[in-house]
Parts: sequence; structure tokens; C-alpha cells
Amino acid sequence: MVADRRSSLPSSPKPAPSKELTTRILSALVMIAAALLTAYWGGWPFALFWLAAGIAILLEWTGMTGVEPRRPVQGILALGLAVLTGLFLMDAGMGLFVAAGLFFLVAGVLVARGGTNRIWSASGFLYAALIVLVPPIVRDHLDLGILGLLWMFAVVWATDIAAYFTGRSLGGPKLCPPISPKKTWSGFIGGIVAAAAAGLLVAWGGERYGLSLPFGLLGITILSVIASVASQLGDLGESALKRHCDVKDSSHLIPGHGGVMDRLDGFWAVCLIVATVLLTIHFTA
Amino acid sequence: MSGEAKRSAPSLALGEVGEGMPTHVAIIMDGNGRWAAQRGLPRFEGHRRGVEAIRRAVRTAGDLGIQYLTVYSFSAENWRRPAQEVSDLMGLLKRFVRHDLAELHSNNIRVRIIGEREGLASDIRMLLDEAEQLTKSNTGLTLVIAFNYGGRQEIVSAVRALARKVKDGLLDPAEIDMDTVAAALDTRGIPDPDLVIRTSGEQRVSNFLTWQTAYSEFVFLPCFWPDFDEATFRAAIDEYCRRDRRFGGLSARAG
Repeated sequence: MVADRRSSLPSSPKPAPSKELTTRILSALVMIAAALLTAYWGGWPFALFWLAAGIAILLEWTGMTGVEPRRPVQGILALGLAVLTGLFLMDAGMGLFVAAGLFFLVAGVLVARGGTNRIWSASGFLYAALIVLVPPIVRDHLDLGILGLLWMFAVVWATDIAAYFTGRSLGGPKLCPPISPKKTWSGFIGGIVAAAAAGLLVAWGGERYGLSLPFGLLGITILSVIASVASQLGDLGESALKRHCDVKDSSHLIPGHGGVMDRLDGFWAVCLIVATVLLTIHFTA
Repeated sequence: MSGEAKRSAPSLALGEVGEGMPTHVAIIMDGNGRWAAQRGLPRFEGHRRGVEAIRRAVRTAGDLGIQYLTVYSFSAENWRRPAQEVSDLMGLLKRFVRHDLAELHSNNIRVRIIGEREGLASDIRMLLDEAEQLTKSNTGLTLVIAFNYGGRQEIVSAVRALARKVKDGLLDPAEIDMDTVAAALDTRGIPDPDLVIRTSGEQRVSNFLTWQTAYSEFVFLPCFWPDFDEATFRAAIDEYCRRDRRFGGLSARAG
């Protein structure tokens, strides 16, 4: 049904939005509102929002890759994510943080059966922990704060939306057909351009509110481009994983989007970039 | 207008260092929350920007040749604020020291902390001790951080310490003079502030350096603390330089 509508789209001058797209946009709006409201609120509601996202991702990851014994591994690792959130909220030191993380990582690996399960269990935990921790750390960071967080959101959202619509309207050569048959180079570039514009817009809006990021306009443009590329690679990486696991969506938690992982794959990659930058600064300063 | 600004800036930077310039400037950093509220931003953003303003103030104080800069960051009274706010403020100080200590140290800045240490979480106490220990032999600007500080509380614990010495027969009550009391305060060895700046338009001392500010000049600025920058700092110093400090006598400058 969806395919029928899509085939009629190019010829009709004023295409009616497909039902799939409407659902997709509506649930995107709900998620954007929740992400922004909790970001504004900060503290534990914000940390819990990302803990929930992280646990959903963990369940999807372990489900998709078929980790066994499923429930015990999921339970241990989800508890581990909750403990990390608790330690963050109590502002515990780095040492305790790493120790707790390693403890649950190892516990999950020990409970999982066999080599492959162990690798999927450990990687799933690390994947989820990044999404649980990076947003709250950025919001509380002395040099980033809520503006840094808004920049991350803006870059990912702009990339997603622009890549979708430029790719659809311009078409052209495919980006990586073996992994994702629909993604195009035009969408990829459109995403990058939009991300740079969105990143600059956030910086400009921040200045008007008296907030600033510790990078010049050129720095913000470069970082936005890097983040946009990372975001699209994250998207491709997740598609590759789904292909490997032979599933279409990571789950069906979000109407019109599939799973939480499907929605956060790009944001996850930006979290990875930010975490790398922060850790580099931390250990070189 | 711009010509006037150009003329006054070098005179501050060159001619007046050491002469009319204050040796010790103390700042009551007020208005972070209101700065944020005015913009509809989360309160925490106000505190975060407040930390940036501290960095600017430290830099400017160094440029101006000021030797002691005291910042009043978290008073003993602030404990009555909501728990979230207290934990934000504590976390912020912790992060400021953790994040900036290395840089302060490499800029030859000596850190001193005044205020009650008892009752603080052990990790914060350790961090404050570390900051003081690490920068102990630095010879540049002394940055005094008033944390969990109250002027009356400071006097009370000084009195208690002196009374204990008297009780142990180490001190004769007749020998207690102003220097004895000053040496029993957290600020021992630090000269009294010449200038106290308070931002955000409030005109109160709020239990800040009660003993030490007996002859200090006060400059009240309308701006909120996150907006405090080099220009505001220099303007406050200009205002101070115009004042005639008499220390209770006829004119200190004439004599």
C-alpha cells in the first residue's frame, strides 16, 4: 500500500502525504518535544529519559543479535545502565564510574553463552551506555551546556530531514546500495549542508541568548560537517547490523520509525564523536 | 567617546598598577539565577555562565596586576535553597576546580579556599585541599574562593579557637588585639579587600568578609554576574580609583 502511494508521488504535482509519512512526522514531533522538554528540565528527568532510551536500545540490540540466555543478560546489563545513571546523578568520580561499568560489562559477558553471544552482549552494553551518558554529561559540561546539546540535536535532525527530502527529490547515484538501497549521494550532501546551516543557526541563536560554544564559526561549521557525516555513517552502520541480523526494524516501539535504535543511530554516532573529543581533551589537558 | 575609552584603558594598565590600584578585590557574584530566568533558560545555565565569568575575572585581575581576588561563590546561607540548586552549585564548583585547576596552576595562580569545611562531602573537601596544596608555592595572583563561607561563622570559629588557647593557658586574654583575631580567621595572611564589587544591583554585604571589609570601598553594579566582563571590571576599578579613601582619618592620600 505504501509502495503504491510512493509510485504515484513523482507524477502528481501536489502529492498528498502518505499515511506512513504522517505517522512518522507525528511520532518524530512527540519525541522531539520529549527530548527538548527533558533537556530543558535537566537533572534526573533528563537522565531518566536517556536511561529509558538506552535500555530500549539494549533490549533491541540483544534481541536482534539473538544473545542467549536473553533475559538474564538483558537484566544484568539494564541494571548496569541504571547504576551508571545513578552514579552520574550522584556526581560520583570517574574511578567509580569506570569500575561499575566494567563490573556489569564483565558480568554480562560471563552470563552470555559462547563467544559470539559474549561479543554482542559487551558491544550492546557499550553502545547503550554511550547514549545513556553522553547527553547528560554534555548538558552539565562547563563549556557545552544546553547549547552543546541543542547543537547535537539540531545537526542530527537537520541531517535526517534534509537527507530524506533532498534524496527523494533529487535522486541520483546511490550511496551504498549493498547496505541501504534507498540512500543517495544527493541526500548525503544535502544532509551535510543542512547540518552545517543548523549548527550555525544554533550558535547564532545561542549568542542572542548570551550563550556561546567554545568554537569559532569556522570550528562550528567543521564540527557540524563531521557530525553530519558521522550521523549518516551511524545510520548506515545500523542498517548493516540489521541486514546482518536479517531484520527490517530494530523493533516496533516507535510508530512510523521502527525501533529506538533506528531513530537514534545517527545521534549515537554524534555522541561517539563528542565523547571522543571530551576524553581527548580530558587526557591531554 | 571612543577616544576617551582609549585614553583611560592604558592609564589603567600601565600608570596605575601598584599605585592607586586595589591590591585585593573581592566580588559577590550575584544574579546567575536571574540572568537565566530573564532569558527563559534553565537556572543551571546561569551558574554555568557564571563560571565563565569567574574565568574572565581571573584573567582580567591578572592583567590589571591585582594580587588578590576573592570570589564569593557559595555562602553558608545558600544551603536553604532547594536541594537541586544546592547540588547544582556544588557540582559546578567541583567541576570548576577539577576542570580549571591545571590551568590555574600553570598560570602561576595560588588558590585559597575560605569557609567551613566541616559538613562538606568528603570528595569536595579532598578537591579543595588538593587545589590549595597543588598551588601552594605559586607566586602570581591569589584566587580566594569563598565556599560555604559566612563572615559571622568565620568570626565565631576564630573566637572559639582563641578561647581554646586561653583555656589551655597558651594565650593571655589581655594580649588579644586586632592582629590576633585577624590571624585566627580563614583569611590569615591575606590583606583586607580594598574593593568589594557586588553584581545584580543588590546593595547588601550578605555576611561576606564581615571583619575584613571594615574599610573597604563598595561598588554595586547593575549587571548580573554572567554578564560581568573585562569592561565592567575595569569600570568598577575606575570608580574605585576616583574614590578618596580616608580609613577614618582625614585623607589617606594626603598623609
